[in-house]
Amino acid sequence: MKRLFTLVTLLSLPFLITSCIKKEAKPKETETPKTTDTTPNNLVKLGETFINGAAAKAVVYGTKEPETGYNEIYVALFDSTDGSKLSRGHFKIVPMMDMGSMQHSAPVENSGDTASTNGYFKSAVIFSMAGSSEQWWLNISFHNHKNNKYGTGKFNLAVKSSSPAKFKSTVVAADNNSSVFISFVNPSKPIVGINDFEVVLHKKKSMMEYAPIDDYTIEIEPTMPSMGHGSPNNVNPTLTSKGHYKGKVNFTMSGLWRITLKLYKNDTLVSSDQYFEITIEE
Amino acid sequence: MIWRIIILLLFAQTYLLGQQQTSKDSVKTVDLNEVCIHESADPENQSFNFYKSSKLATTEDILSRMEGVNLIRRGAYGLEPTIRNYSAGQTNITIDGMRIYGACTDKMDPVSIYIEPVNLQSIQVAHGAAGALNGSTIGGQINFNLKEPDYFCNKKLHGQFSQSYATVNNGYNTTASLQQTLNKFSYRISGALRDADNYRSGSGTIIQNSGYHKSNVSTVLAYKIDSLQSLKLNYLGDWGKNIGYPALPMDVGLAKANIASLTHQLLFKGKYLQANEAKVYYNSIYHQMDDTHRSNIAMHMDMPGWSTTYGFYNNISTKKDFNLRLDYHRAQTRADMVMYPANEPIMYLQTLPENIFSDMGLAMSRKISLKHKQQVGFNARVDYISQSGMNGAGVKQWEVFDTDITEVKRNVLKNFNLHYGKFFKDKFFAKITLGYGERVATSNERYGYYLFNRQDQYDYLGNLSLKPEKSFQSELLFRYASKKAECSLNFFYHHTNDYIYAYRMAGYSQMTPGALGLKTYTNIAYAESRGGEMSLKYYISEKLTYIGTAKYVYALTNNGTPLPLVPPLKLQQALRYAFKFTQIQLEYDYAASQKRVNQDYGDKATPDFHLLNFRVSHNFKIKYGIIQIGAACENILNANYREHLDIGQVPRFGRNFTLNLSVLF
Repeated sequence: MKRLFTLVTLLSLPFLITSCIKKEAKPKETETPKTTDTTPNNLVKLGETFINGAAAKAVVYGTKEPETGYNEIYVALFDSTDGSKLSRGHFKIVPMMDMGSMQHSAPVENSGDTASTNGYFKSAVIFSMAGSSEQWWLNISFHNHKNNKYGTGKFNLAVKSSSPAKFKSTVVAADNNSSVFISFVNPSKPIVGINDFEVVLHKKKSMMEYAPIDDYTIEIEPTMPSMGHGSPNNVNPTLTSKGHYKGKVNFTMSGLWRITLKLYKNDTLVSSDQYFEITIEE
Repeated sequence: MIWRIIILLLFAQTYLLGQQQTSKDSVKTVDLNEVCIHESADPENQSFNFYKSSKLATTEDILSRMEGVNLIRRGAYGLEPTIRNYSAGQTNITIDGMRIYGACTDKMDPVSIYIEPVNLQSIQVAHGAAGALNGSTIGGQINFNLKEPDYFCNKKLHGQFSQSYATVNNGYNTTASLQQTLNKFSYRISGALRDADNYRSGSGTIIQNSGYHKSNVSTVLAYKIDSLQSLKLNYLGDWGKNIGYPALPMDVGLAKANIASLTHQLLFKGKYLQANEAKVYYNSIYHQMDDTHRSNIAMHMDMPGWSTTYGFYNNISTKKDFNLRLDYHRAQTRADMVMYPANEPIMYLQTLPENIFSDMGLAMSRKISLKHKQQVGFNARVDYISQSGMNGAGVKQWEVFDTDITEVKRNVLKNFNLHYGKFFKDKFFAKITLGYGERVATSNERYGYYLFNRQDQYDYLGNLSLKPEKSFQSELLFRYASKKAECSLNFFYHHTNDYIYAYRMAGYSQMTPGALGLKTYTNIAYAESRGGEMSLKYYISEKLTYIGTAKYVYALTNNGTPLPLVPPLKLQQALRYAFKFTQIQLEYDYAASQKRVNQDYGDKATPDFHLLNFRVSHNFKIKYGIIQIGAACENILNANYREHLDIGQVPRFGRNFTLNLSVLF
């Protein structure tokens, strides 16, 4: 009854023939790191170290707690004498893993920029396995253009296993038995609808050397494992630069999705059983 | 004038009931308690009048015997009425002129489920564009009028109680009603409870998931402002629980409907104007499909649906049979699918993205009697319809198909209907009707997102850019009426351009596990349908009456492919013997086989069947009223049969004995 009276009241108002629908506000663009000493809102502090010899101190941030797979790294550098921010120089990261009997590195993307962007030197590290802070560390070297001095530093950090896995390693027999690393980059915030899809491929050349793969073609197929269906109108990722392949992936509903990748080299299928899983919350 | 007749009839009925006269007429009058007054004045509705007077008939029984009406069956409950070959969006099914949209994307909740014989006054069926007074249509309209209190009878309290039992599904059906007029106020309240277990088919098989439980309450409160004006407040509530749909992969766990309206009626004293009726209404439907009673379920799934509609209409009529109607309604619908896989996150999507359908319409009709017993009638309607998807999950889902469903789709629909009729020697009447009607794509057809269709096992995707169907129609009616016999013969031919038709989307895959692929809708060049209805009522003797109806439809696409769900030839005959307080009725139904099927749609050929039913009832007078006892045996031959419009080829009831006890006071 109450509803009815509400209705009657409503009906006495002029009718709207068509409804006005407000466009949803656009999601805020990811904030670029601000030039402050405090940890920016959207970043996580991974560690800090003095760059001995360059009179500098590096404070290292990530977009998330370090985990296996692709990790974006933002480094702020400060003058260790007056604490001012350093914006010019050559900067490089080398990740290292100590497995007791042996040591190895991991793929890394150093921008090679000589100037920081918005106060940060950007790079990315692909942690290839989980490990404690006694096992993983980052070697940081910096050529400080302010004083033209060169130095290095390092700090340890723990790397957890990404779940669901954002890193896959497979031996590709058809490519000279190379170890190929497939790292999931995007969508980092998957939604129902259209998503940017991005992976980065690396080939292990030695324990210390990893090279981006630029000569593969990739096909993706998203499916929902518990229902067996896929989604339409996906765009296969194509090479953009340095082992990065970008395309579009579509999700028609929330829930668990599996994106299976088929890798081709010279039109030959070299890998077809690697996949990434993504959960879209309701 | 009509009002006066109604008053007289109602009064006569009450008077006779009250006095319990034993004249020959009183048998009829006792039955008259259930006979519709409006309808008795409508010679085109013989079968309604005839079958409604049987205490044992359900709304669906009555519907299935009306001219041109067939039922799509998905379970023992919730049969969907169709008119000729037209279903759902092509027809308008209304209650007291109110638009109500089902909340179920599987059409488990046609509007007719809210109607119980105990709250039903009359059913108006109009075929084709002739039914467009209340809303644009190409198929026609079925309007159910809810029972009203007898405003004009004395202040006595009247009521009835009825209990039925059916053996085929251990079904109990209890109904009751009360009504009274107190000075300016009148009220009527009625309720129905229906419970049934799984039923047994003709082969003796128990049809799993076919039981149901529901309750229905219908109330009306009327207030007579003065001798010319009255106000009427209606509320109808319907609650269903665990309703089985053996033809579908899911059942209904819970269904709720709240339907309310406020009506103002005004009679004019002057020379020109006759009456004005204004109504505001609101209804909300909630519907939840579930599969918890099904075995072999890979994963539990919920499919809730919502539908909320409000609207108004104002209808003014003159003493010269001119009607002008303005109406508006706005419906908001949405259906979700939620799946619960083991050890995985919940999966969710909107199978019908939330959307708004709004419709402003202006309609008029005029009937003119000419000399030489000729008449001309004309009606026209224009609708301004807008449809749009609402922001939410559905919008994002549709982006995958590069489609923005928030785009507002606007259509102006036009409907015209013109008829010319002439009496020959008072007994013969011939009428020719030319009509044009349009109908817009339904929300399912526009916005549906992987809606699974059990019939062809395909998922269906809507098509935002569907054009309206446009139908050119002609009908020819012959009628003969004498004291001894009434006969009518009706032929029709409809040519519908831009017919909305489904096709397979190559290269796209289904979503529903086990489905065969993905389909969507398109406008095909045209579809044609033709056929006819025939009815004969013959008074063999004073006590013995025969009624027979036949209906046939032949419908094709422009490629010559039969349209889906087209019923075959059907004959329904009944012989009734009425003597004093006893009534005996024998019914014989026959449906021819249907081999002209649409295989793409998953139609399967249906064999013919013969059905025999027998009904008997007797009335006993008691001090304060009447006790009526009825018994019936339906499907006497225990035929294992199904009708062509039965989804999933699930057989119907086997032999069924029903018992009914009613008390009327």
